Amino acid sequence: MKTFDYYLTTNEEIGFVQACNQSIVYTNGLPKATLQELVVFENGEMGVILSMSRDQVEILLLSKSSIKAGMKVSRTGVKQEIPVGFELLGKTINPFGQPLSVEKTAESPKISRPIDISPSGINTRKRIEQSFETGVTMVDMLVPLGKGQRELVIGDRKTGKTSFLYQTILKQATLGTICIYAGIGKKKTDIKKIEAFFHNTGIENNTIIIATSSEDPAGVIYLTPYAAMTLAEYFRDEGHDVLVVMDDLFTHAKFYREIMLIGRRFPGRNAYPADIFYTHARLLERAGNFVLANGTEHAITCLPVVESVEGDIAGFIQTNLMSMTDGHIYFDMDMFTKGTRPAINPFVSVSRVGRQTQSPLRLSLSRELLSFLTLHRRLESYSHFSAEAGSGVKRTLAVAEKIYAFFTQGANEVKMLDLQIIIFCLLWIDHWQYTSTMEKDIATMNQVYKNSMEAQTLTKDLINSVNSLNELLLSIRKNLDKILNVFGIQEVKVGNI
Amino acid sequence: MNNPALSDQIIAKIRTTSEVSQVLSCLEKFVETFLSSPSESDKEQLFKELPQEIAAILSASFAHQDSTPENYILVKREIDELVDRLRKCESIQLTIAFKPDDPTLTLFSDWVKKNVKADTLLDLSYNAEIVGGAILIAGGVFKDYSIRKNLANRFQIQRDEIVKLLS
Repeated sequence: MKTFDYYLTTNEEIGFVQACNQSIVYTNGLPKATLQELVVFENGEMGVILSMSRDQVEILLLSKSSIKAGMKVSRTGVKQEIPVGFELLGKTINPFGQPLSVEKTAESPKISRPIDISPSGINTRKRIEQSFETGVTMVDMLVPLGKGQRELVIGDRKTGKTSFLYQTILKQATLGTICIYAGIGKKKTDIKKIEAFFHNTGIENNTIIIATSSEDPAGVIYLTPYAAMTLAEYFRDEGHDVLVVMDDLFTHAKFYREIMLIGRRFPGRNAYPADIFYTHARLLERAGNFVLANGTEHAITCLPVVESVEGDIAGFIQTNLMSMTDGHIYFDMDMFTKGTRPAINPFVSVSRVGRQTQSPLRLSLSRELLSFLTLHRRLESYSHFSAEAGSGVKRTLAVAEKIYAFFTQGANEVKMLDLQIIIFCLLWIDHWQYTSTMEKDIATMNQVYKNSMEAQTLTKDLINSVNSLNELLLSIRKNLDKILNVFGIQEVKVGNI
Repeated sequence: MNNPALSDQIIAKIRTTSEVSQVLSCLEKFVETFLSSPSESDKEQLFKELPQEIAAILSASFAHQDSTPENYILVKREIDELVDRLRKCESIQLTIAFKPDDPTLTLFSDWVKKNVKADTLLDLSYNAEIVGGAILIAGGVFKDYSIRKNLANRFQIQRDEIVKLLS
């Protein structure tokens, strides 16, 4: 940025601060000011124009230093922008593109893009048809996502939302997707943890962290997700698929509420301003599956996070976000305390577009699995009568126990979906009598799959040759010896379900 | 007693925003002491601090009024109108490199009143660093007609030429 004097002599417009209320400043003058334009105060601090009346301009401060009445302010003639470029990969930056880590101050990008723009029109969009893997078996099988989908991640504090986000970023970065993590008003230690995770897993070069801490001015925190989306749009236009994680929009809404209340906007429900829906909708609408000018198709997949309080997912911001996204993954506190990892509740979670991206095999598998889990849910109450329960009930409960064990996944552990399908089929044909044996074998299979080309080819061949779960089960029965041999696991008597 | 010509007369004679502040403070004092200062000379004394012409107009309008409650109401109403009009006057901020004498200040003010608007005032400030010329601020528009700016532009052009020659 240039100096105040430079902008004053270039634009030849000046205003004087008339009133100042925390992060909102009112000035006169600046006759040709436009909305969202950056302004600079005589002490070098920046602000952005929020609204204008005939004789007053309302400015949102982007700094925490004090502004006094009578101070001079000048227009810059530019909207809020963020430098964009591949130079940012692996860096942690603020919404203005400035690196937060001192040791990573290498070259900065030459191109800039406006932070807050209107979403692309319908003519640039295409139906979501490619599936999006998260590396979390439960999500990939029961709540499948598509590239370009906006899926809300919702749950109470400490229910494993962040672990899920880590796993998804890890999986997608490994697949070559550019992952942008927007930390909105996060603790500095949390940002350091994310940086360390990206570094330790070796996905740094495919990721960007754009973060603001709770100590930053409200105006800067408010800009964080918009800046992240601008970065995502740049990489999309450069021909990459992008994943944007917004952690979290509940905090964003709270900071926006703070700004608007100081700005004397009329408070609505829960004291949020009337345009809170628009604020989030215009942000999330920038994600999707797009067709570029050269005819190629690239997606911005968005995972906004929202925190629920005491399991209440019917809050104002939560329901707003649910209605503007293409589904939600719900992290259940009860399941978490029972030890289920990930604590995703498949009955409350929804994916509105993910299923259309699924192969017939995955669709039939998902349907079968969900109907079984629904049956188990109904029969769960009979588990108290263990001795008196019928053999059918006992069998269902035993299989369900194995299925939940199969879904269990450690934090930061990413699963290969193709292999998971094979494992599930083995489980479904009752290959394992005991859960403990199953867990041991699954660990072996995961290990073998990672290192053996033969195992990977066999898995792919089995999956690609069929169109439904029943066909795959038949194929697995036929090739069971070969599968067990390739994966190096013991043969057990195969039963029937 | 309602006299719209009075505010016009006063505004025509007031040149700067600092004079407006002086007039406002005198009028405030006058209203406060109206009932307690019985003589005309006491009342005239209050306007003595103001420029001569303005003081004469104000004295002629208000000093001869008897200190009765009825007159107080009428005088207060008229002064309130005058104050309101003075507060609404627009101003042009003018920064110059020297402190102008009285005739020069009148010359500046007359030019502004004639060419901009009759009730436009000057908000004068002095800054020797601008060397000469003037910096104008009006309605949020900033114009730097100072010699400092001209010199800076010339130096910049010369610097650019030297850089061009060297490269």
